[in-house]
Amino acid sequence: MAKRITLTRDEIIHLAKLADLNLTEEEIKKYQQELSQTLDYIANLDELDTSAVEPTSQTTNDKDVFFQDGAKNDRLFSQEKATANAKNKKNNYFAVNRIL
Amino acid sequence: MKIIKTISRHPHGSEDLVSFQIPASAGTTNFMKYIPVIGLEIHVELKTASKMFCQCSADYFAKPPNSNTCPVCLGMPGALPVPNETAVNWTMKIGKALNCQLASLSKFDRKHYFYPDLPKGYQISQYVEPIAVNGYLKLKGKKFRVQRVHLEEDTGKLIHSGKDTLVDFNRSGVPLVEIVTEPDFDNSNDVKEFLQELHTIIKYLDVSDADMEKGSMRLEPNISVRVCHPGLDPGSQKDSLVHENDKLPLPPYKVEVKNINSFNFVKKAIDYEVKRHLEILEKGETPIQETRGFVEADSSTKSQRSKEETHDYRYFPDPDIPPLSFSADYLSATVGSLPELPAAKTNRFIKKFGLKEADAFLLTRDKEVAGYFEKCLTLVKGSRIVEDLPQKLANAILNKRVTLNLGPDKFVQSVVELYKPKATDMEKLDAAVKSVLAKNQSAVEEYKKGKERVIMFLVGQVMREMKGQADPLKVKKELAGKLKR
Amino acid sequence: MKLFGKSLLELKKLVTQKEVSAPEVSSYFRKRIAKYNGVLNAFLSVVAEDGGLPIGVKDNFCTRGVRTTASAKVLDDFIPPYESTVTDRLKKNQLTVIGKTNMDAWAHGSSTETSDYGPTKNPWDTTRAPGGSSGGSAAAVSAYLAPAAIGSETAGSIRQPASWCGVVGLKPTFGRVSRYGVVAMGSSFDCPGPITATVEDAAFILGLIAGRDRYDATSSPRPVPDYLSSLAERRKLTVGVAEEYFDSVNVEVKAAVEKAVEIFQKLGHRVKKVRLLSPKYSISVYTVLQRAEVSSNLARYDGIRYGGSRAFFAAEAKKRIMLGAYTLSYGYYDAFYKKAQKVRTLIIKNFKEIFNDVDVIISPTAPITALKLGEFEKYPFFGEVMDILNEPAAVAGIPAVNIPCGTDTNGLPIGLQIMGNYFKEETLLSLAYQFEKETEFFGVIKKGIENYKDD
Repeated sequence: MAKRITLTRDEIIHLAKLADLNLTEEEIKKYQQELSQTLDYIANLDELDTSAVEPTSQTTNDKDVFFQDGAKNDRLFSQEKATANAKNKKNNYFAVNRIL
Repeated sequence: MKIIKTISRHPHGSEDLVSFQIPASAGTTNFMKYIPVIGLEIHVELKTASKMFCQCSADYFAKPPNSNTCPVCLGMPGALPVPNETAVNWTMKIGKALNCQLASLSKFDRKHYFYPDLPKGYQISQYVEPIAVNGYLKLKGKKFRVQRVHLEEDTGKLIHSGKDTLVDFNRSGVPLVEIVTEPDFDNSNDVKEFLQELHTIIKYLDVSDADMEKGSMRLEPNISVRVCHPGLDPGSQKDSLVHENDKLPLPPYKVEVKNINSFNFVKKAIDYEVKRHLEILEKGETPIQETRGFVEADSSTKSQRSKEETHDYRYFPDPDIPPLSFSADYLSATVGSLPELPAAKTNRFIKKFGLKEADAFLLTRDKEVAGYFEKCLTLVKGSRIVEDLPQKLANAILNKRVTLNLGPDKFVQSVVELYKPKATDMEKLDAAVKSVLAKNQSAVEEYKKGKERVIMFLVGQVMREMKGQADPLKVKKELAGKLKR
Repeated sequence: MKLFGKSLLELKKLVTQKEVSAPEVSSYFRKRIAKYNGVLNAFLSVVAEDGGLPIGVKDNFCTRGVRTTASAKVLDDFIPPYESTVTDRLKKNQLTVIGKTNMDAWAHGSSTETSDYGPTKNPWDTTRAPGGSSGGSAAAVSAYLAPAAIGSETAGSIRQPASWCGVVGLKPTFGRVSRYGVVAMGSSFDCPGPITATVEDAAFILGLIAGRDRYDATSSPRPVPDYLSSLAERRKLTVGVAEEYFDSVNVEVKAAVEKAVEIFQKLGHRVKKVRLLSPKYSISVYTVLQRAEVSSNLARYDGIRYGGSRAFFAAEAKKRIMLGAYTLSYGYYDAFYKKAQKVRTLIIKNFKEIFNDVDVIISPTAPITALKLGEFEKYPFFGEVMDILNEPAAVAGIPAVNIPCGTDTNGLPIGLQIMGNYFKEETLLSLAYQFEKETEFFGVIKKGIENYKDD
């Protein structure tokens, strides 16, 4: 991480694919540069010794938050509500272009 | 190409597709040996009342499309998951039943990929710290390792229709347990038996319908074939435990067959794949790594485009769900709540009731049937009317000689009635014995030459002549007396 | 009845005393919005619904039946079928959403200029940015288009616009206020909070929206104190000042905050120098973790169930998604994501140690006062620079409040922030309240409102 990381065009295209984003040629070039810059920017993380440090994924320190099993209808959507915001629907199904 | 099937070392059944010897090339005496390497991924939907991360009903079957959703399972902006405690507990039970180590600390991760049935663009699953790891299942002396048991959420359902793919999210968020084995299998019969045993265990735990037709248990074998070059002696490897296999390098590819919904289809898919791989390997090529689907019509498989070009799921701990921690007390309470499992029950039936192994096994395939059997036995405690009554009850249940619709008390009565010693008309018996001995001279000769088991045949003949109205023990005694003379 | 300049609690009292009705108050503010929103673009939508007292709500809170866009074209026509916990609790406490306020698209930004619906203007100088991402909410309160508003903060999005618009902005402890129904940005950082003209209003609103929510597993089960009545306690506190938080801060800003420190001393509080980890590490931690969470949280926008397709994402969101995908990718997770999580642990440890010695830490909220619109494009790390002093508290998940402490020579408001230990919101509010009583924020809030008179 300490050395300068340059992202290749292929890497950008691969990331765009993972993220399901379509990029123009211009954008690919732009992101190559901007992402590399950002990676430089965060390189200072290496200045700190974290060899004996546990990672934090929750600042709350809470644990074991559950609900007790049991079906409840208080948030249940009607078919109409569930699909009301969809651009494409058919007979209460969401519809997309055939994928198989 | 000539495939020579070698004799299987499999302890039961001699027709297994275990390994093949194929001439490596014409004119040499070296033989290449091919051994299938098979691992399993099994998905089991839990039958909790509510979904995994919201309280919509987990029973989505046959409901109108998108009538069983809420902000959470529909992946609305801003909706957040809260985990279902029972689902976590049941996953632990499955882990324990598969002899796993249960985690004292576990957490949920996000697994990212795009597919229309996945509402959030990620599935909440477990990657780094699953609920249970490092288990195994022993089947007839072989040990098949279970790598992990983890909890995740099910996706919606897709229906392909005309130019559209239609999406129904009723199933989205139903708790789904994934069981992953090590690639410890080398034949489809073992796989099938493993799956049947697993299915029985799940049913015993009462945590899932495990109904294949409804899709609440889904099977995905991953298959490859290992080429053992001359010099390595696969024969000796086979002598050691199956899981010694993984000390050998795994084949450089793996084919996954997705979402199969019957044990027979899994077997057929594996057999088809192994044969296909052999043909490719024989040409000196390597089968490509891919995902395939099973085609029922001709028991074949066909290539499916995989979801992702590469499996880069970008896992990270789900910040919406605090970690799960389990105290020693909690873990031991969970373990303590496990029912007696089928293998233990089989052994107990053999030891305690003197059942034949095969019968004890069959009787314990269904918890209800096994329970019925035991209930019957409690009702005839101390009864000495019928010799070897447990075995006879077992036979009656397994052969359905008496209808199981009867209550256990009536059932026991009928079985006792069937087997209890009959009042015997000694005059008729004497006549029948004489008649049978006269008609079966060759059997009599054999008996006299020392083949004493023939007597059972003769008992049967006499019983038939008596139209069943005799005590078989008396018949035997009478015959023996006559034959000695 | 003259309503101009009345705080939310003052309006509440007038309604209770039947001096005015809640619908009259709402209609009064709707008129003000109609008059000034054309200039300021603080509201994206106005709700023609009478109920309780009006409050502005950032457009990333789902409001049932009311368009919610998070200022992003992807959600241009999204009408939520459900209600966020925060707005639900407001409604249950006789407050009515008067309108949805503008913000940086998806809350990505510190100027409200990345909004797909045009920037909000800073009411103090409409050629300037209000800060962001809760720029619409801060501007609305500053220009008195709403007596109070709800914002949300991932790292600075409440405090920094509150600072630039000269109002009070409270970022609570992570988990103090439910995130349920808030369009997720950085899930391990996001905190809804009040933006108000008085400390009392902030305490009042926090009391309504805080507390355990069964729909948010990260919401804290700790009991909610009576923030409002604890203001009266006038506790004497130990105030920490960290040099690291004054580096590269504009001299006028620095001077105003130093003057505030003197006032705290005068009020009988003990001021103590403390050493904190440089905020630059927080920027890096925040950049890595937040981009990863963004790339994940924006994955649900596929245009199937609601909203438009992923083609509608604008440049800033795309860039963040791409970086997040990179740092989470196979082979990079340990080097970036996990490393950042570990440094996060160090930052938390650092704060916890300091809070053994002091009750609060004060610093400038932003290194400079409001920038001209368009300036942000000149800074490749605009957000990071503007939010540098906000990010440590966001990374640690501790509470912090911005209060006005003067104006600069351009006549723009300067803000200072008070950071406190986990769940010690009442301590921050107590100190802020004492400062307000002593200084009236040097007339900043009043002055802001005066520019937007009724007639």
